[in-house]
Amino acid sequence: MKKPDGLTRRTRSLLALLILPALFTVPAPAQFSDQVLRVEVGEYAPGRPLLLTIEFTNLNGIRAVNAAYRLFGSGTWTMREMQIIGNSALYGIPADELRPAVLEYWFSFSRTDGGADSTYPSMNPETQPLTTDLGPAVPESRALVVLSPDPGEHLNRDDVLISFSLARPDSSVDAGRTQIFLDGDDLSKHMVASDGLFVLRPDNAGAAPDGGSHTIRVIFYDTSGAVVSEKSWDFFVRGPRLDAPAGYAGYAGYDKAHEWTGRGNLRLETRNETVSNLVTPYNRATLDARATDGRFEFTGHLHLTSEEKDTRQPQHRFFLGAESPWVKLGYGDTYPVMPDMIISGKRVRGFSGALSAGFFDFEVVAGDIIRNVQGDTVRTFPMDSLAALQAADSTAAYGPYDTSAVPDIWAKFSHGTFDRSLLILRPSFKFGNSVFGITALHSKDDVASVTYAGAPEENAVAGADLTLSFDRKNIELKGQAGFSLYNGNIRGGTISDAEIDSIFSDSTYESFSRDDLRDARDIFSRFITVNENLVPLGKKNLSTLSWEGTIAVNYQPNNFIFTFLRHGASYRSFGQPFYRRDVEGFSVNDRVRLANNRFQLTAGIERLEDNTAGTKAATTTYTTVSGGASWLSRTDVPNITVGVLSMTNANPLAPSSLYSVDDNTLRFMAQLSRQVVLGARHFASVGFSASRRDDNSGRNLDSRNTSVSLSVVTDYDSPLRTTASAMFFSTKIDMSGAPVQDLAYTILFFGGEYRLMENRLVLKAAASPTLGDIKRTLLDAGARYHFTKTLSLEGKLDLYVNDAADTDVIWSMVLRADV
Amino acid sequence: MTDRRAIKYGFGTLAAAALIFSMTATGFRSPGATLALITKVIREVSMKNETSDWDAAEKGDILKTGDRVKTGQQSLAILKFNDRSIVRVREKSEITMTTEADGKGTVKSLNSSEGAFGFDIQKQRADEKFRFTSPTSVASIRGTSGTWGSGLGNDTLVLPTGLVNLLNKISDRNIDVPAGYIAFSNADGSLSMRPATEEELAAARRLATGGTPRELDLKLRNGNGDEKDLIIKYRN
Repeated sequence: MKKPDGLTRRTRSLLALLILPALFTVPAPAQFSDQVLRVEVGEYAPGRPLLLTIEFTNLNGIRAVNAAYRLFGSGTWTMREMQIIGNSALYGIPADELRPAVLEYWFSFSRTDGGADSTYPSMNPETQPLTTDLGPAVPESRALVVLSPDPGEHLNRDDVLISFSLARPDSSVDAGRTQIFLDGDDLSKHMVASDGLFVLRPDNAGAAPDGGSHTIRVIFYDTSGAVVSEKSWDFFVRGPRLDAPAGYAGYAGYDKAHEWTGRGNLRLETRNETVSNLVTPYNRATLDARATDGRFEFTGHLHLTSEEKDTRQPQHRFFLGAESPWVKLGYGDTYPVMPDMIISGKRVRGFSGALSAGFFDFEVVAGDIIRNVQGDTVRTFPMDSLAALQAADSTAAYGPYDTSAVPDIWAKFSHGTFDRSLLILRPSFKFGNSVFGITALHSKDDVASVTYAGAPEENAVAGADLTLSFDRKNIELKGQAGFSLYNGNIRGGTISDAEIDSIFSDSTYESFSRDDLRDARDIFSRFITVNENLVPLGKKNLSTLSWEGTIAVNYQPNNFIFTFLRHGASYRSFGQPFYRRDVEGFSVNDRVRLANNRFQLTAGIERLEDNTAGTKAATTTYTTVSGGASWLSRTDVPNITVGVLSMTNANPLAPSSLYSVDDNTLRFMAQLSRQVVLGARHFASVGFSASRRDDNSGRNLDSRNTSVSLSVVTDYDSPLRTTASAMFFSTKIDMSGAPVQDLAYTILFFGGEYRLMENRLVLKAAASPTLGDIKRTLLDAGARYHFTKTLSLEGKLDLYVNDAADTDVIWSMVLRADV
Repeated sequence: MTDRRAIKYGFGTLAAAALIFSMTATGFRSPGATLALITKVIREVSMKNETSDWDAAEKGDILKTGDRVKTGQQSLAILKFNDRSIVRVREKSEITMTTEADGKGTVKSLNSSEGAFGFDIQKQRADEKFRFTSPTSVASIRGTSGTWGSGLGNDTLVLPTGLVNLLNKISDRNIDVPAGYIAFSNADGSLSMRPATEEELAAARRLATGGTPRELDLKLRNGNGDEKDLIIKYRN
């Protein structure tokens, strides 16, 4: 069967921006980045995570990379730390956080020097974010008639025959392009099609399914290769899985499970960067290995890099893991995902384990999330200058440097970073699709790990979560709640009775009594250091209590989600540094799918208020109203998505107040895309976005943003793929007492990839000039040669021709071997 | 050419095109049109088409117009049609698949001179018909389940549900057979029916649908006293 040669992955590449720091003389919401090379977004498929990848020219000065994202219509950004691998950072947005039609995202970069975070896009990323199309989802085929096996059917292994038909002739379907997947494996070439009847014998395709549940997915295409519709259904094969656990030996087919198989790959890279005449070489080696016999599995990951230094957080990565059907053990760098109120993807170096015993699961993670970095000596000085220097900079650390001198020589030190340990325990109970879990986290700085540093901190969180699913997950109730304890300075240890009495000799403490503190100490000192820096110190407003709940109802044509939340003003978890604090309210979203899912309407409203602790001058209300429509075309009309969004933030304070908030952002976006065949297969997309922010507070920070993008990716019959795109960005910021800032630039991109020698050699080249207020040209060339199927060498050269500086040069060689 | 002649030729051309189109669209299907596939084979099942001789049939074989299927002793073949209709070919039976246009739509016919068949036919569209035929009879089915047996000029139809029109080709008489009845069509032109017995209806249901799914749960205990469940699922 002929397979479609359409795009299997939609990639959007956005080229690096180079923005002069001098442009930003007023406090903008975020600063700029000149290090981003490109951004890639994986193809959206319902039920699967969406991978965000951002590639840098270098990571100099960047300590951490964070992704901020939200569905269009939501007013709240979800911020997550990305995993850094080489010069790239990756994050997979969980599938349950995704749904059509548009995802907005941007990135922020934490600086190693403690300076303000930079962002990408550089200016106003929250009002002018990047976007990617999440649908609408491909409609389910109504023409497909399942012949075998029936959805949900239980059958014997020998009886498995996959067959379906097109009951009614459908002129829009090119039957010859139909694809079939069994558990994700494309078996289309083994399928027989005859007059609208399709038959696949999995055993003939070498894919006889073992015992357990399996999924068939069929995708129909039109004559141009565009997806028309799809359908998936499950069936169940009786008998044990080939990887059945111990005790099931002796069943037919089980003997195959005892064969050990292994996979591994090695990647060696050398890279050299000459940026601003500064030469920086990198050498990296990455080894991944996996072995399994179907029941037990061993995995290993090792990443070594010349960037590893004891003056920064770990750059090497390693992990060793062993897994059986009921237990998992691992040691090394792991990224636990549990209720996101407590931890979600934070890197932990240490031990991880999970036990699965039927309805009961237990997870444990114990390790370090920050390693100690000693502070640097900034300057030395005679001891008698200490008072003057401390008066000038009270935040720095000071200490003896040479006591043998007369007078003693002291030094000013920059703050180091403590070792920070973390322990998480999570028992959970499963009942069908419903889960109830309890999570406890404790994290503490090791005071002795660093000589000079700021205040050591400690954190404890306890939380519970519940997921209830009904009617095959068409109704889902989710809830989580957490209570945190945070101590901002544990250097003195737990407070004594005498110290409590001393503190309360001052009568200004009104919100709680000395007895409250004594009670809190006696209870909580078992979990955390208790002193006057503990938060909370009283029960008033329950400032460290957070909870949220979601009700999701999914019945055709509606997909309705109602969320209510309350995030305490002082809630804190070291496992989740990006949790938005001090808001409470609700959001409602509804998506209506019409015309066999081809036409989708979305509408939503979110209303949140801060000041949950009642300690602010006024309560600010954040209101977001949005609406959108998407059309997935089966004709020559392009797929269209349009949306409009209004965000209003306001509090009742007078505009002259420093704390006044009164602004509105109105945003409109439209995206069109279409696959067309004109000699070759083209995927064309056009995007437009405009926003205006009117600030009626005393700051009067108004802004206008416009972006237009056009791209065409072309697959030729010959092994050639080309990409041509143009992107125009314009930003204008007008703030009281400061000159108006205008920034407008256009990025053009022309690239191609050509395969020859039966795909053994792949050549790539690209040119990308940036025009307007930013002037730079990227020239990129590369080649990858496969000596064998498992051994390849890739070379790459990037030239950044700058308008007002020397050309930056980056080259790299990568040797990759697969076993 | 005058306007009138032009209109006349135009209508003529249009009518001819419409005729060709309707023939194409309503059942003037190519001799090799795909009708069904074999989803299950037990013991001795063979098939043949217009270009090949009898050969062993396998699960997944596609059946086209003109193809024949036959079963041996203690054998069974299950045929599934495009619209999920199912025909179970019992032992020592033979059937020939045909499609034809009757002017109103497509007629799918299963021709048999001997054998027994269970059928579970989906409701047919307005332009489609499903028939069992023999040298003696034609049973027109719109969407129901039952059994059809033929041999030695005597055909039998048992119908637990629905309605089937049964025609005796010798006498050109026909009757509507309602649910719960058994009907007989004979080579002498006679055509009759009576209420079926419970046993006859149960047997027809079993053959038509493969039986009612049932489950048998056996408790097994080994020498250590460990207990396990052995669940047997079957149809009755």
